[in-house]
Amino acid sequence: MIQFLQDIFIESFLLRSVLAMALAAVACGIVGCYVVLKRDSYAVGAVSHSLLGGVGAALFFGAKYTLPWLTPWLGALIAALIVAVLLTFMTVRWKLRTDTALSAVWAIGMAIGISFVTAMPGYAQDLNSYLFSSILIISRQDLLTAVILDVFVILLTLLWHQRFVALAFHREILTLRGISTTCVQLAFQLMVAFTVVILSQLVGIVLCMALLILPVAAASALSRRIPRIMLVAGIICFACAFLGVGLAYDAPQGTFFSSSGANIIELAGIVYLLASAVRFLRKKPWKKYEPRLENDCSTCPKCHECHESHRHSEPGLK
Amino acid sequence: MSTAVSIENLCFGYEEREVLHNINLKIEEKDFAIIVGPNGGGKSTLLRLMLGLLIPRYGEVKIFGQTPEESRKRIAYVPQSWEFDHNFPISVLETVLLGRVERHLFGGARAKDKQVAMSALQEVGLADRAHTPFADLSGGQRQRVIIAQALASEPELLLLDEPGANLDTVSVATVYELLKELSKRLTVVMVSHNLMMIEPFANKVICVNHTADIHRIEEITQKVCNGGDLVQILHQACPIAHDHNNDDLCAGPHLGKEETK
Repeated sequence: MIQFLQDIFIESFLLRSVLAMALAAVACGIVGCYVVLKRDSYAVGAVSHSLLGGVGAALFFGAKYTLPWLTPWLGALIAALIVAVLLTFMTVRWKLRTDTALSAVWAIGMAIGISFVTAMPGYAQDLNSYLFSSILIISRQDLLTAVILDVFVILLTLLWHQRFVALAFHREILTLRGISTTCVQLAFQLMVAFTVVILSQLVGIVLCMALLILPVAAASALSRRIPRIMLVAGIICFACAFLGVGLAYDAPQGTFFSSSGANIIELAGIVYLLASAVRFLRKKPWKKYEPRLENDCSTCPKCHECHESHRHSEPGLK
Repeated sequence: MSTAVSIENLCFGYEEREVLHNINLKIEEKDFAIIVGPNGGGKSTLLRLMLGLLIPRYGEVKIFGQTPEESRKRIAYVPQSWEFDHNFPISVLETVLLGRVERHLFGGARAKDKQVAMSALQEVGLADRAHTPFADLSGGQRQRVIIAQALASEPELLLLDEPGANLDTVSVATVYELLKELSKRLTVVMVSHNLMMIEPFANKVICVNHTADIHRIEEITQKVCNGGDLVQILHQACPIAHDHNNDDLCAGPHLGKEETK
């Protein structure tokens, strides 16, 4: 950790990785919040795993036709876009069961990736670096992509926040007010897709879902206001990424802490468990229930219990 | 006075089963109409057809002379109750503001929206709970918030699907008293089980039900009744025998088997 802090301002690649963390934290806080509220974390898993198909295809075609611009992350981005559109149509338009559609996309995406990679001998090892990516090897171009995607996510949130909340809270509100659910759902899926691409660069495809969900889950255990949940989740995400990478940087090769992605998720997991414990203890479970004596039906616990009206002056109602 | 809802020769069915058959009715502006009938008789289906959430198989539904989709912004709908995540971090005011979500293509609620939302909350008597989490409210208060959300969209036609279904008698009375006030300035159409409570302030009753013969295509008998003694009107309106001790005034004793749908 100490070595990491000393080297940040010397090594440009370290500074880049810290910047990438900040960018990822912004997307994670915002989009993760919508995902958790919508109870759609499975969608993140489906999109992230199907990125592998895009990575595989980009590696394959890039090598075969020598296309230097076709980087694996560009392939991932294209795959994410395709999956976003596909999922929207499968769930909203064709009205397929959400979990089935997601599982199908999840599995097919990964399978395509594996097929492409096995078609190129010698590349199998390479796939590992996408599954468990390291934030320390982020290039200038990756950073630029992350900036653009972040701007997109922030813009969409500023413009359509209320619609996303309505989508997560009660989808029918949108239909009843004459707003196309397909359109809002597609925008949501695109945000998820972009965020997944940013986060996959940080922690890799496999751990990306956890990084999007855990900070928000921790934050929502502590707050009941959406903007605050977003902010707190972003901070948790950045802190975990910073500490996780710092630990990995200092740790010698081949020890418990040497994988930055795993470190980040472990830290986020600990924060989540702690936050949940705080939330539980806040309710003071050791305290005994004491009904209040009031003359107001809206606050009288007795009224809520029996769902019947009664006189509050009744003797015995304590 | 112009027509708010006009339905002509409407037939509707889910897949093989015909639920509504040859419906003709007109609801004038500022009317207070109640839809009554047995369970599975097509009451909610009729409401959803008026909302444009279902498309008629035959015939047409016109709201203010346009299709339901075209006049959707002039309609507000209050469902029976909402299934929602009890940990959802949304305040009462934010919930009400969702009723105006279509007002701006971009950006969130403006000061004007908040003002309208607050006055809607005032109307349902929950202005002091504006910043309480929605999940912390009681069932009756939630129902009133949903009504406030509908009002915040400044509708001309308010459709309600059994707003008193999950409420106790006191809350129902509060909600109905509110609806009575509202009917002075907008058209209200409400599906109800509890006809006896609402009778004093409704001016139209629509009976929606099946015929007794389940072997034939299910038919619908409906009549729009105007003024006069309610029980007498229902006798004329609903040719099927009905039990006055039953909340479902149109449900005949021989329909009992079918009630569970």
